[in-house]
Amino acid sequence: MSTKKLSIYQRFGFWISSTENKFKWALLLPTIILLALITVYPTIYAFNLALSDYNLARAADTLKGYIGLQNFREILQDPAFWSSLKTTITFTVVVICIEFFLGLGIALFLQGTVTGSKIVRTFILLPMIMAPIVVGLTWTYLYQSEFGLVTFILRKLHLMSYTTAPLADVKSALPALMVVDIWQWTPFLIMVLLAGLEALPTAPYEAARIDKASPFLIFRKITLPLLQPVILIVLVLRIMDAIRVFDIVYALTEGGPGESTDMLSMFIYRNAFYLWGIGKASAISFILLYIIMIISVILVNLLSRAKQTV
Amino acid sequence: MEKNRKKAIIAMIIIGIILVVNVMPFLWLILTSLKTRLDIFAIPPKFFFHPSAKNFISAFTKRHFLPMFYNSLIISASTTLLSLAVGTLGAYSLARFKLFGDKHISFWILSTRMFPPIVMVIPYFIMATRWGLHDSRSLLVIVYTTFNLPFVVWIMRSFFEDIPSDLEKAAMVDGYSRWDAFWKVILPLSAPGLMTTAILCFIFSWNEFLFANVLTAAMAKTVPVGIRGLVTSRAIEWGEIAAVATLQVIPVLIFTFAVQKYIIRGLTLGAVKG
Repeated sequence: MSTKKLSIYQRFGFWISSTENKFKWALLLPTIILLALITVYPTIYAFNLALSDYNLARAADTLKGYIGLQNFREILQDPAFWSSLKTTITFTVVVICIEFFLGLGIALFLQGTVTGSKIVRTFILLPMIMAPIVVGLTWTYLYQSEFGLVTFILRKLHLMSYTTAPLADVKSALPALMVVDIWQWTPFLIMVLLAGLEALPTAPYEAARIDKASPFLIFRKITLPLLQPVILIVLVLRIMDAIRVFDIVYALTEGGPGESTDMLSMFIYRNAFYLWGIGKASAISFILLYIIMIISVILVNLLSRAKQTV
Repeated sequence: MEKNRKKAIIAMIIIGIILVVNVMPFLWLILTSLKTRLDIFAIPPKFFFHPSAKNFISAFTKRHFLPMFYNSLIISASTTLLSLAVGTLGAYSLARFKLFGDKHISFWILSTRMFPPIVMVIPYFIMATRWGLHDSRSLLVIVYTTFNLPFVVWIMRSFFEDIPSDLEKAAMVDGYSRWDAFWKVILPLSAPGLMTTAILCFIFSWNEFLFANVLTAAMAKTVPVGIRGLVTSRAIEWGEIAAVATLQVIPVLIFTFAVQKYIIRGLTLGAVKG
């Protein structure tokens, strides 16, 4: 972007009608208006709910209406919220790390070896195009305590006793959930990183080969910096999805046993639609929104810096 | 040469392992859908058995999945059409013209895509109940447009940017109007992009669970909600779940196969051109 000051006409030229200007706004306005109606309005509505004493399980005349920030205060003092936040962070960090390193390792290895037929590519993508609720139920079935295939194999390998099951134990439920997410999303990271690797320019590699650089040095000094924008984009997308994970939690554990897998989305859902505390649930959902906004601003900044340096 | 061949063989083995790990749960689902209740509960799990179509039949006769498939189809197709009709125009405008504040506009559009659905579902639930829209197909069409429309704008913008703008200029020199240059020249050229976008929108909506679970009850119930509905406190109908899930996944598989050339690009919002 140039730092040159724009003239009044350039700044406000769109108000001064010309066919070109009318045309571009005529094309864009429907998107802006529709999106504002269906997203901005509900967000404002939700913020109103977050500021009120709104509970569908209590009689209407006992509700106090507008209560300011009291919902937020209550949540910050609620140990269940903090434990849910901790579970969400643990889940996100662990699955993203494993998916990323697994994905990068496999992508680096596969680079340039196979062209990948259509069928193979489709089946590699299968876990992530299946409905998440179906993924969740399929794994619930595989983890089932009596006849589940995974449980059966784990028991045969003496990795799990007959008195427990993957989803029945407080200690194993969260790892079991992580396995599902890793199963679902590692192929996506492999495919994206592979696409990124294959689009890299060849010139730096030829130069490195002439200089007889070691493969590790090539990876650190050439591949990693060049691949950085792709890595950041895929991390942004995955982190956003992992923080708001809902379907597989709902299908596999509904937050249990105990509170061991009570991720934030599930915690909000439970507060809103099991306990009918709409006001409180809206307030928690705004806290989740703030967290996501902060993370996305950090990542987007990293991304634009990475693009400038490359 | 010898080293390369060795690497190729190991690569094949890795792909083989990935395929087995990926496809195994799905195959197990299909096998389960063909099992009778007795075979499902067998310990150790059975790989060979007499297949039966019982689960498929009872899903449609006893569990009434046909209207749910109809709902899913109508809702997914409508939101896809609406998002494409509106979003393609917006995407073209953002791709071609310098606009006042266009960076902010496109960032805002992207940020609505990043919205967690759980934040949206609560106000939509309250509004729908108040306005008598709960359990209607049109409500779900609107709600699904909240994530499909930003998706269309971002993807289609990236596809339009790939087409050189000289093409429109040439068309306009030939006497096309601004609109005709877009409609008759650029749009046909971006057909593969449009196809991919449409299919991904359809898949997102076809697979969506959270909104549908909260915002429908009976009349507008979609397939994912129906599948989860087979898990009750009394029993879990694994055979029927597997049967319906198999039927739900098959169209998605066919669609993915059709557009897999651009699917990575679509799933990274146009950022990675795989």
